[in-house]
Amino acid sequence: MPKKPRLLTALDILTPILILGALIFILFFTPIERTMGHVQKVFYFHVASAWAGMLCFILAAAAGGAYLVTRRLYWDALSLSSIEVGWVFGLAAILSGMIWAQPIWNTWWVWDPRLTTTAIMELIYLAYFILRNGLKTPEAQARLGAIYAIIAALTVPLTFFSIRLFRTIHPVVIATGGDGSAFNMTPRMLTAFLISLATFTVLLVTLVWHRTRLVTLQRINQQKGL
Amino acid sequence: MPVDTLNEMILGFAVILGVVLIYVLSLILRTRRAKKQHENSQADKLKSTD
Repeated sequence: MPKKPRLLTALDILTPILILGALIFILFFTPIERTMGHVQKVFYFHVASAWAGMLCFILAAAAGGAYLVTRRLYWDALSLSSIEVGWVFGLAAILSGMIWAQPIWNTWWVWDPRLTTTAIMELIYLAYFILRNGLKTPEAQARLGAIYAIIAALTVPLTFFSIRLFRTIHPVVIATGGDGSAFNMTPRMLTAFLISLATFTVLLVTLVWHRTRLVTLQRINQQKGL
Repeated sequence: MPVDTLNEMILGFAVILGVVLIYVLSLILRTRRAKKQHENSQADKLKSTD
């Protein structure tokens, strides 16, 4: 296995510090929202999780495209790792959204366009692992994985824009219009939101990097017949 | 006066960080296992050349 890069070691140290820093800022330095109360604070990590998940799926599609062009298995490892990490972030976003919805919408789940498209996206990426495991050779897995990752990435813009395209009760977070549909953030809320996005982006880079290294090591072991 | 949703906030953060933590632990365990397999195969290789 190649030696661990220094940058990855630095990310291993930096990532928990960033998470802790973001958490402290959110808990102690952001205001309590007037109607929702404390639970609104979950929004910072909830949106950041969803953001990181979608970013992973786009990265997986790009890596899949790179594999189809170059046929280098490294790109397949990156694509596979991005989908796995993206799926974990997606799950965290769905579960935290349900916890937020319970006191605010008085229900854990509604078949709202945003929730429905997110659930479909998550299920489509779950099927990726099932289909992939059904194939025997790494080349066949990589080829199908790449094509699947590119097609499945269509669910990302559909999920992101679902709250703008359809009638929905899900709050619009990123919006410029002053029509009242956007969630109005105070400067401190906005700072916490941006810190959370940056933190989860660093976290996704760290996790995807580690997972890609693990895929490489597992392939070396497989080649040796272990 | 905002509604009391402190418990939901704690649960929300616990779930997000818990999911990530479980994934990190699985990554650590899988990496350890793969490294061990790799090291064992290297040791077997050395033994066979002796």
